[in-house]
Amino acid sequence: MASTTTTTGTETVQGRRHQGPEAGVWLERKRSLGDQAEAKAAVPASSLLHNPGDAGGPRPRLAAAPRQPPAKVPARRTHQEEFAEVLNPMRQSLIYLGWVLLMQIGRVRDFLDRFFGLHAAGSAGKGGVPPIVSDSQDFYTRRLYMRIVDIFNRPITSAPGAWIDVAERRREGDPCREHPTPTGRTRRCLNLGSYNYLGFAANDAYCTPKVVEELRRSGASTCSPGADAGRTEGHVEMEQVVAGFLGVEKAFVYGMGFATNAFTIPTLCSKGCLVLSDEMNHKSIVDGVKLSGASVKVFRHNDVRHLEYLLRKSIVEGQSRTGRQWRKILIVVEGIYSMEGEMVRLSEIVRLKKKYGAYLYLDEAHSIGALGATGRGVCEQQGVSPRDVDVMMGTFTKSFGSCGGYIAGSAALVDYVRAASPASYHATAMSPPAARQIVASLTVISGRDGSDRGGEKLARLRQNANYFRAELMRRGFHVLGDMDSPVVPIMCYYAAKIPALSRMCLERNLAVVLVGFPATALCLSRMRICISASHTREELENAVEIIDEIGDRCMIKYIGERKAARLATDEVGGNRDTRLVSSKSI
Amino acid sequence: MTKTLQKSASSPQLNANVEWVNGTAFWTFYVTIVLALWLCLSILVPIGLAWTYANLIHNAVSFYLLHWKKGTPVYYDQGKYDHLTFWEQIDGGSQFTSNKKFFTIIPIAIFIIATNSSDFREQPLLLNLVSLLAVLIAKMPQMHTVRIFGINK
Repeated sequence: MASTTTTTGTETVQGRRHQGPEAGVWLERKRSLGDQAEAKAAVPASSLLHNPGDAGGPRPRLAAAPRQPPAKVPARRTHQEEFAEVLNPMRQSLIYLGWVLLMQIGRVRDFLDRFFGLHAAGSAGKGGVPPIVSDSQDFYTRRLYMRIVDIFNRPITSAPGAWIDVAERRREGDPCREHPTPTGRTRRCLNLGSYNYLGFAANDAYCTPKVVEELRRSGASTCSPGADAGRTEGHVEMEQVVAGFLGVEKAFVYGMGFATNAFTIPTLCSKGCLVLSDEMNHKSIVDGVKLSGASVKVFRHNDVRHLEYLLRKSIVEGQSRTGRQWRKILIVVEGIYSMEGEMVRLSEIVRLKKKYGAYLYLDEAHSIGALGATGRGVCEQQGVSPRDVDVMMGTFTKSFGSCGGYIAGSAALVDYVRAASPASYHATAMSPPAARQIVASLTVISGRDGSDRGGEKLARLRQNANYFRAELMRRGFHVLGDMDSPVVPIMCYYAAKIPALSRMCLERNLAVVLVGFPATALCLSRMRICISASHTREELENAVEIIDEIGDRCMIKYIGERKAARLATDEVGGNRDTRLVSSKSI
Repeated sequence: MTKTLQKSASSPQLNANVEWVNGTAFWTFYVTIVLALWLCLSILVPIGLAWTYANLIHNAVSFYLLHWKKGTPVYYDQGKYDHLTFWEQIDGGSQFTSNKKFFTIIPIAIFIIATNSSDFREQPLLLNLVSLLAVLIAKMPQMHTVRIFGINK
């Protein structure tokens, strides 16, 4: 289970540029490489002395104690280290210069507009009312975001399956304030942007008839919160099925995924509690923590040592003004971070929380149904028992084709959350057809419908994701994330490449999502691709070819192909001297 | 010591408006911009006064951007930093960080070069000195969130 960033075998890359390895063969190769590495590393140091000519292994260390456990495959590099290698000072300066130019051009245009009175400044209030926002407040929106707004908010006119109909739009009116208007034409694109990991977003032979039947029987809405009159048998069954799937005692379901985090965290924490939150946590968690009034400390992304340091420091120092003990300490992490594509270091964090007596809140929005041999999420993927995670949270929007989110854990926890959460009393209960979709999709995934479609979907998702990631890495793109993760971010770094990539992809009928500042750091814009089990290998191969061409034109192949191949051997051979960066890209 | 994108192993910067100042190439970029400014000016004005012009323009622009403009362009900050200038947002408001020292030294260095290249004549020296003092006083830790006479509150 060693997770390395690149896993292409050396034999496949040299001399065979356009033949990607078959996923099954490739997976075997990955495992065999990993086994080779472990076998080499497990050789006791003393035997290396007898074979001084044995090139390619770790350097023999004469003082190595034979009692030590066999060294693992070298720890994979963090994304920050990779960014630091790719972003040399010249590239960073160019990125800064790009943003400076954009801001200054925006300022000049604002000045000219005001000088010549061309466009109404701000949202000028009518009849003596002050404007809603002043010019400087929405400067970024008007002068930067609206320049490239045609790559965001694209309306879709079909279900978001493997293929999606994207409405074409044209710009008219004030370019700073008017969104483009649809022309009426649509374009059928390969859908690489929707969270459709298991393919339940489109019509499903098992799920959709059941959903329609439930719609006819129970209507589109319960028209009542769960505590009043909104809790149907369907909801009870859904919560039981979810709890059974996750391997916990009970589950409580919200109608909205964002609200699950934003209203459960205030239920669990309040003033006097401490929340240790990962740097890259989702906005729903950040908002939930703010709403709770608890103290928050942010630890560097996936940095377990920093988390331990903060834990120790906080426990020793206590609350900030009084020095009293914290009422409770909650560590909040995500299963897969959607902008990084990488997984949390769950076993180490569980070890930490047991050592220091903290609670663990795991947000599995992107990992439930997508990771693990049977789709049970990051706990199964990393071999952690679900009993070790105090609060398991997840959403049904990604892998299950529905809406809403769940909180799962021990019976005491879930009963308390059900009694204290505002969703029970004030939020309308989940729509019955959506609840039925959840039950139906979980039935398919766990194989209870009598077929093995669930297992097939999971296997196909894993193969698709690994193939796509490995293939793009082989071609020299800087791809983030762990193996088996269905989220594949491709770095493009420069601000100007964001609209270029998106528009070129749309012309070639690829629907992709590009993200830049302020959703990501200033220098770290990326294209975030979500792989689905409903993509066929042929579709992904075509997509890779298209992205390859576009990547060449936009020069986002920051890791040269030869260097990518050498990186694969580095992980095994232990030679850390190679530089990562290709000189072909600006 | 692993190379990272931030200058040192600092705590996470949550203010997206200013976290890029901690990037490894930012100082290089800033010095390059100042030199580029001087190069352009040395074409347009007498060479002895080029650094003086560079000093005045740099101080005026950096005063506006660092000490006058408040808030962030990031809409989901919800106005958290709307009362803070860029200088006050850097490094979460802590004083005497290496970024702040760098920003303080650059105008002093430009001042020294400018006065030397104008041969310490009175008029350029006085102008340079006044603009330097304006910029330096604004950077003093005692001036954190101080608004003189309520200007720019």
